[in-house]
Amino acid sequence: MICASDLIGCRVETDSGKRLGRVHDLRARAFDGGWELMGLVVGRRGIVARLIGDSGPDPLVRGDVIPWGAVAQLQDGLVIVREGTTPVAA
Amino acid sequence: MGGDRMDLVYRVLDDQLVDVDGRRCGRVDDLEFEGDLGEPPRVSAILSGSGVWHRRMPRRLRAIGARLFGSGVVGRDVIRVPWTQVEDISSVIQLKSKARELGLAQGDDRDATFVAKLPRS
Amino acid sequence: MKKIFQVALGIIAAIGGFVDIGELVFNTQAGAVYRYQLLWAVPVGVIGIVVFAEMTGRVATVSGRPVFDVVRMRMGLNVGLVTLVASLLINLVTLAAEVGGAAIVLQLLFDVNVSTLILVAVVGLVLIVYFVPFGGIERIFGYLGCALLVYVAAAVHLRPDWHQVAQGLVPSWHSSALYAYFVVGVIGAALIPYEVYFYSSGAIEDRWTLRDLSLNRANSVLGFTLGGILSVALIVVAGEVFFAPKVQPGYLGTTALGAQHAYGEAGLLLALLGMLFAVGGAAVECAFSGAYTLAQFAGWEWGKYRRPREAPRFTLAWLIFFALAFVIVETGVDPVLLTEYAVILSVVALPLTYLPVLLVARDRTFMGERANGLLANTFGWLYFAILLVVSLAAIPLMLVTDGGAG
Repeated sequence: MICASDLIGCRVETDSGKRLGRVHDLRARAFDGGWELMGLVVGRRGIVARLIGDSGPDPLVRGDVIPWGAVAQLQDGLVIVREGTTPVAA
Repeated sequence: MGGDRMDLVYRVLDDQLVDVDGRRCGRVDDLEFEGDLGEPPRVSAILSGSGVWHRRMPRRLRAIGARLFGSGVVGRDVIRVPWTQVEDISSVIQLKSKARELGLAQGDDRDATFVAKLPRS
Repeated sequence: MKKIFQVALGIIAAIGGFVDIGELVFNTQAGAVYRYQLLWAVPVGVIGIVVFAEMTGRVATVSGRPVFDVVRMRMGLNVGLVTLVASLLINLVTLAAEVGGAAIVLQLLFDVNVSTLILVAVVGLVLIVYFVPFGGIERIFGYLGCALLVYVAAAVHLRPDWHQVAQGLVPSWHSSALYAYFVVGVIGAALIPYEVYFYSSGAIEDRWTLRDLSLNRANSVLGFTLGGILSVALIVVAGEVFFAPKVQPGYLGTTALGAQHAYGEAGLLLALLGMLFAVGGAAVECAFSGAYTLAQFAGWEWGKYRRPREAPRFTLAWLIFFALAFVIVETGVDPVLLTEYAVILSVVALPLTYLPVLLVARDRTFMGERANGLLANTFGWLYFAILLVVSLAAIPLMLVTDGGAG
């Protein structure tokens, strides 16, 4: 069982230690009457996007997203993703 | 809410909770997910109360945060509201039940007994 | 016709409510030391508050979210907490300054010992706030605060050199720390955050709807602008009365002397009455602003439109603020000194409160079609830059000039 506070602000790195940014938001997808976590919004663009905001009607914030499926391990303050994962602009 | 996707920090976290009677009863201070790494976690509950604030503070300040705001004792300094209680997400998080039934706004209920003693309250 | 009447009343209330102890202290001193050379700082401050208030009023009306709700939601818990603590401290200092100022004015009116008058001021304010509905409070203090318009009359009556006055309205620069300090002070006094917290929560208290949006916009623009004219008058009168004899108005009573110089005892009485209600009204706004801030950050029920027992922690919050201010003022600290701290500290914290409002006002997710257009965005970002510069300069200038003592 995880909480949003466990993920927000975490550094994101690959197995080999390559840094991909920090988690600034949690992208969710509607599923079966509820919401499921589909990705982590990361990166420098994430915080700028979060502050400046999109002026569009979208509830989504511009930023790079790491799909949840790529997450290999959760540690305290650190999210480790599979080698070769790159954030997808979405 | 557009489409079937939503950014939870931007749209849900830190939002105002409002109960079925329109009463303001706290904020979304944290979100609880269930499920494991094998499958996408599902949002299972809203956590409301200052007891979870220390978890969101910078690492070095967490000890002080827990002392000042509470360490997260469910029922005392944090209340767990099942996600099924959420009616709508707009500029506030609209809940389906009364605050009292959900265990929210306890501080206001407690202080109301004192304030009720003031004239014309 | 009824709408025009309503707007007129709203404007009157805004004029009387615009001036508080910050303007009374800083503008009078600015006029005494630099005569008309700081006049240009007033419109800069007034335009700033009009821009800021318009945005917060629009955000509150369209999204139902007052300022601190926006701060917490947009900036998150940590930045929100820092802003909260800063705002509460500044609010408390400002409230103490206003209460202290009210007590001084009462002492000038009735020769009673000041300790008792501080109690009278606090108890009087608490009773009015507790028993009178929101709209009534705004009106009482706003209308009676208009007695300060005697300064506008005095400014004309004293026949200043209008050519010099006009020159003062054009921005000029002096490479003196003291001059810069007063620029910061005059601009800062117009932009004290509690006014904006109060204004945006007031929009929800008064139940503004989308239809009222342009009406209330007119209200605030005209009201604050005319209030700015009052601010200008304070500088002009001080410039006429105190500059030549090099009087440093370190006391509130000295400010009142400006009106007496023009109109004798009648002028003095009007000035004191106006000061009492302008400062008293500001004290009320301050106490509420603190309570709004705390309640909105935490998510508690809030609002004067709720019965006290329906918003218990909010009610206790503003009562406790008054009590704390009472204690501070009773220690005997100089209200003029408190005022200077309040204004300077407010200026430092301004960018922190201003930015989230600007960000939400531009955000179409929350504002729909009412999000900032080109004009609002241009002025919005321009003022953010101005506020950043002013906020960074404020404390160094205060230290270098020893609080305006030169």
